[in-house]
Amino acid sequence: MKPHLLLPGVLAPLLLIGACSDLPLVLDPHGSNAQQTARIAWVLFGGGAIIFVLVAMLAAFAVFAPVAGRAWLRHPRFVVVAGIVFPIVALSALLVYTLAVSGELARSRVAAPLRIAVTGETWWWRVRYLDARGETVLETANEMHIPVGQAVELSLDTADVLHSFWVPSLSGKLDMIPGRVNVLRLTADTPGTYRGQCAEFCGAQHAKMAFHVVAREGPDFDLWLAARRMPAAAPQTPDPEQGMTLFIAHCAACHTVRGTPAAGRLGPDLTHVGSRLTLAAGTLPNNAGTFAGWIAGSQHIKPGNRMPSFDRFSGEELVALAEWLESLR
Amino acid sequence: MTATSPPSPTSLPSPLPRPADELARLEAAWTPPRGWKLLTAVNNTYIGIFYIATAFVFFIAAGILALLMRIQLAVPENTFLDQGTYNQMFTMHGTVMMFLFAVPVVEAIGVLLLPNMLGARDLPFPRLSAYAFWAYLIGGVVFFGSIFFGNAPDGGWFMNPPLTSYRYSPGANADWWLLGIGFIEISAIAGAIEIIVGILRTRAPGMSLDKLPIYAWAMLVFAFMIVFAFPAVILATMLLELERAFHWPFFIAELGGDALLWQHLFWFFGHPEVYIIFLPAAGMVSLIVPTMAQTPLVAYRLIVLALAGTGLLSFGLWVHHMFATGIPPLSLSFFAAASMAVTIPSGIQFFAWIATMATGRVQLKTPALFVLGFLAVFLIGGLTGVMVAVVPFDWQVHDTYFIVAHLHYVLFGGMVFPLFAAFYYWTPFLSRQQLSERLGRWVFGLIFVGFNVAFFPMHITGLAGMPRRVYTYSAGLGWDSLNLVSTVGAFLIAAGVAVFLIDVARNFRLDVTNNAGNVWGAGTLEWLPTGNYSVRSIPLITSHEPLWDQPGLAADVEAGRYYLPGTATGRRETLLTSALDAKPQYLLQLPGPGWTPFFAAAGTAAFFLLLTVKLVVPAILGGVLAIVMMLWWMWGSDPGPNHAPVDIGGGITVPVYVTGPASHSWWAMVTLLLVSGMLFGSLVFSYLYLWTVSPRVWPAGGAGIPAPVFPLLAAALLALSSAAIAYASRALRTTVGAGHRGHTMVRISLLAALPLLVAALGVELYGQWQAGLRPTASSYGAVVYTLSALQGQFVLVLLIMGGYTLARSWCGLLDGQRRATFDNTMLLWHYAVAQGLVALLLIHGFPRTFG
Amino acid sequence: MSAVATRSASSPAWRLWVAPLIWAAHFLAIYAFTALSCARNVATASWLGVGSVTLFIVAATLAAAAALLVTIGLAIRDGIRARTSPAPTAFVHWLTAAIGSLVLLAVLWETLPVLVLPVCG
Repeated sequence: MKPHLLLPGVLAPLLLIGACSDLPLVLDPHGSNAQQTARIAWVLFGGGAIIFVLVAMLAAFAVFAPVAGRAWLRHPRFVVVAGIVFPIVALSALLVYTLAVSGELARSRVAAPLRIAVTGETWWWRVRYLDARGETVLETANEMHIPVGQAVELSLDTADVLHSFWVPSLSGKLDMIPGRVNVLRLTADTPGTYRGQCAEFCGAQHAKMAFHVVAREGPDFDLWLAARRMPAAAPQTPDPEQGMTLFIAHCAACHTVRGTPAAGRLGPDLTHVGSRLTLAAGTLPNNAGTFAGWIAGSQHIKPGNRMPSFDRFSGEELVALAEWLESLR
Repeated sequence: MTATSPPSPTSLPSPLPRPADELARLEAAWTPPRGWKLLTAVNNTYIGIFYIATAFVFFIAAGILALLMRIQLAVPENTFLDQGTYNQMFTMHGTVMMFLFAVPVVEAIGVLLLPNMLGARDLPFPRLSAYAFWAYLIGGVVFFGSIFFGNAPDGGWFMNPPLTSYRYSPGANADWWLLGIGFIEISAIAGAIEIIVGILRTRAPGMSLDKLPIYAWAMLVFAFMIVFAFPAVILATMLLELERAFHWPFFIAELGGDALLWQHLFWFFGHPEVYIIFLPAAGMVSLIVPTMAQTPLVAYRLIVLALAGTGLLSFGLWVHHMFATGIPPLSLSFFAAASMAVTIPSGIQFFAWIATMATGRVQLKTPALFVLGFLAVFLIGGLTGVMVAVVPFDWQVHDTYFIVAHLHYVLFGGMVFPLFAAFYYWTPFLSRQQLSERLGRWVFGLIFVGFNVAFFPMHITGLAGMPRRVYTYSAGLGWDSLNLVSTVGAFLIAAGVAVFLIDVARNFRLDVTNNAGNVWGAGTLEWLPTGNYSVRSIPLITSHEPLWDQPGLAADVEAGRYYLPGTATGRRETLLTSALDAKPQYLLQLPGPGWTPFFAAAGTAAFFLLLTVKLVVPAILGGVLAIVMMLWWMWGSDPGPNHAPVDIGGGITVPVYVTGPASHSWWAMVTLLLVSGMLFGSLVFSYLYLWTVSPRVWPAGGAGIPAPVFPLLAAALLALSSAAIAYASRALRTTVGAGHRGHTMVRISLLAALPLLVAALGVELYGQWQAGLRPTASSYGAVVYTLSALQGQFVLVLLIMGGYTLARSWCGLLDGQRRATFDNTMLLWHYAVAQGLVALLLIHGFPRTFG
Repeated sequence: MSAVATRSASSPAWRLWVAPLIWAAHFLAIYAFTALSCARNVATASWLGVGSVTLFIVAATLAAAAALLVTIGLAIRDGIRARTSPAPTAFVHWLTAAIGSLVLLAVLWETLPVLVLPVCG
């Protein structure tokens, strides 16, 4: 099926400009939900493009064609056929088609062996892997790893205001609403790292509330999960020793690092934070330098967020703290 | 006089020659105020122009906000604007464009054009238009000013709680939105009532419903949509303000509230709002296309069907904005299906315009260019509209730049393009000369190209994953070049608007009396020779395009050969006709310039705006000023049969005063009751909705509900109060002139009815309070007390109106004939009693039945 | 004045509101019933193997469609009768029938999903 061949000249060049030869995320699906949506999208774009061209041609014909040639356009009967009969037929077909696909989406509810609870916070994501009884087996933040080809059930809720969970490559979005738990089932088809972002305006730093979904092959995922369930490894070097001391003195009220006394719940769980792709919900790449910068200037980098800038640390202390955190893998 | 053939020249209603001083007297009655007294102007031409100019200033102001945002987004990780400023700007851009530009400007054009197009001298309530305008101007300027103090709303134009409630938005920012916009909505409703009564009752004789210009049909549907849609958002703003100010938990999940209640109420208004903006623009297009093609509109009836159908079905689309909230799929699909159904009326209009263009020969003048641009742009917006109605597709593109693109294609394409067409098309009606064709082509070219360069790429930006309302974005996500292109496009649009302003500065010279005239060869009545009084004589209409089908019409109208060729009573006046077939019924005497609308508006604005900054005492003083001014203006507006019936020509004699269901004031009051009913209906919906979501906070098994004696007593008091008013009405019917004993009965009944109404409210409130219910405890308590609070507002209004009616009775201004004041009070009274009874049934019956 | 009043009260223009009211009632009814059934988890109730929500919606649609057909039929009949009376009356009858037909289409489309989709998802 290649309905995108039907795209008219107007759409194609802009698609190219935009995507630099890559298709936009929504049209380049890597999950079953997104796949179905992309298929619908191509039908919609193709149909829309055809209708646009036809109507534009009719309008141009009505204005520019020789008077005699356009006589057939003059009758109310033309309005009835083009403006009523045709839309009824086309839209009925579209309605049946999209309902059928929606029904397929809604009914394909295979039992999901993996359940993850995602809570929207201002402005980051709390991620909890749940066991069969709904108990948390692993808490992490701003990143979730899932096995390829397996349905995953995400329970979405929020700790404060509205947020919306959206990974365009895998699935459409679903809102996070106080007092409710919305359930999103998705499956990743190919291994890879997929970016997601909050899609419902949630205040000052709505723009900097991203996350990543990493799809791994099954065995690889099992290894990852097992490793992450372990507490943080004891520091290896003398310098990080100082980092841990600083962390427990200054950061433990808000952050948890399993295996240490730090057990704060306000901010993200930082056990294994060194292995994450980004810092501050997709705001910075993750390395010791950016980590030190974030600790010292979090209010500069992401103004208004809940973490104060720790500018009282000396340079040495910052490096020690950042290196220790980076060592948590 | 038959409806099919024009009257022969010898049988025109008013014979020549006309009395020498007739025209001078007409001009004298309609002399507009000059200089600083322009503030007292109430005539629709002046108010219409002030109104359009103000709305256009807001268009530019909100456009500048958009340019600043586009600069910020031109490159990734830009620091031109910080997040706080950006969030205020996108909130203000949306809010100002919707509430201070789009709705006011289409209402303003209606105020300006409708009387002339309908052959009326003015709208039926000129001071109401003036009031609506001044309230809008003062409220709008102060509201917009909040951005200069960094204090503007920053929760998005949709103001979703809980972000906008007291916990996450403790500052005054959100209050500016709630009180400022709440109050501007009231001004919009005032305008809508004016337009409905104006269109239905002030048409030229012969202009029966089947000959109404399509633009008037569009405005009629538009006004009814405001009546049905705006109350929902007014209620929503009331609830959120109650939550913010007094912690009544409507939207707080822990206490049984629900954030989605806001979204339901907001979008029940918000989706029709799109069509509220679009329909008037479509109406303009339906007038411009036939003129530009010099041929009558094809499929008039189908277009009327399309307008009515759009207006209706747009009320079944609101959840279309909530597809991603987790509502069950079947519920979503009802709205998806309704969204598909609403495209059919748009299709009808599209092909009717194409058929009309094919029938005639389109002159590609600037208005036609903008219409063609509108067709292309709006078509894309309509097609993407069908796309977002498809639920799974919407889950992907909802709240992304795809939607930003879609909504601008619909709103900018569907409304701003026709608006510019209208500016170029109707300028000769207002100005000594028309706007420049040469500059007009530049305006069109820049705006059309700029628009598509700015917004088409956004479809792709959205598909590439960029969400809306982000103040910045990271590099390397595939969004960079698309955003840069969009920014360039935005500045091209700005350049187009700048050229337009130059054109206006160079060529627009306001002069209604010596206007450029019918330069396009149009067929509708606004192109008749005109003065501040509109037409010299009111024509008899026999077709859709009278100027094309009734030869000599302009000259005959100008010569005063039609109806009412002067002023019959020496005052401003207009002819009232029947709604269906436009048969002359009576002469309405209209007020001239006056200060009351201006001060009433200033007082109203002061009340709302000072409340926002918590200056309660000055706010109340403002409110009192507003009420005093309104009563003052009302005092002279019920003149009674103060003049013998007048001969308007053609052997037709009409009275100068009418009461009862045929009077314009009765129609306006009934429309106001529709607004009230929708407001109350929205509150009943909120009650039932909150019960659906949180049955746990509802009283179970009748525990915690006041004993039945309370509601029964309150209901009895309400019924007695209505009975007293009904008795007063009967007693009043028998009275003629002063000194009749019936007057005493009227006054006693009114005096008795007032305390009964207050007592009923008191009994209900006391019953709830002694049963232990508190409004802050749960959403149940909040909504139960809000039902009483709403009833309390009606009681307050009725106390004022009842006292006012009594005062008129004591002053001898009320009797069996002169009773419009009493009738209005009576209608509202019976409504308020009915509303109170339904509320009691809901509050006390529902938990007992389903608890 | 009473002559004026009665004429406007019995005007066929009032009938323009009938189809819109039927649509609004139908739409609200099916929406509210579905929402409530899902919120209270009673959507699983069934009769002869057909779910209660499906039954309710189909019944509501049949009732609405019948009412609409009557409205349209009466409008067409009166429109034909009104051919000799002034044009506005015939026009209003036409518009009543046309709005009724549009509403009928909307009602049918809004019913379609219940035959395809699971109720509460």
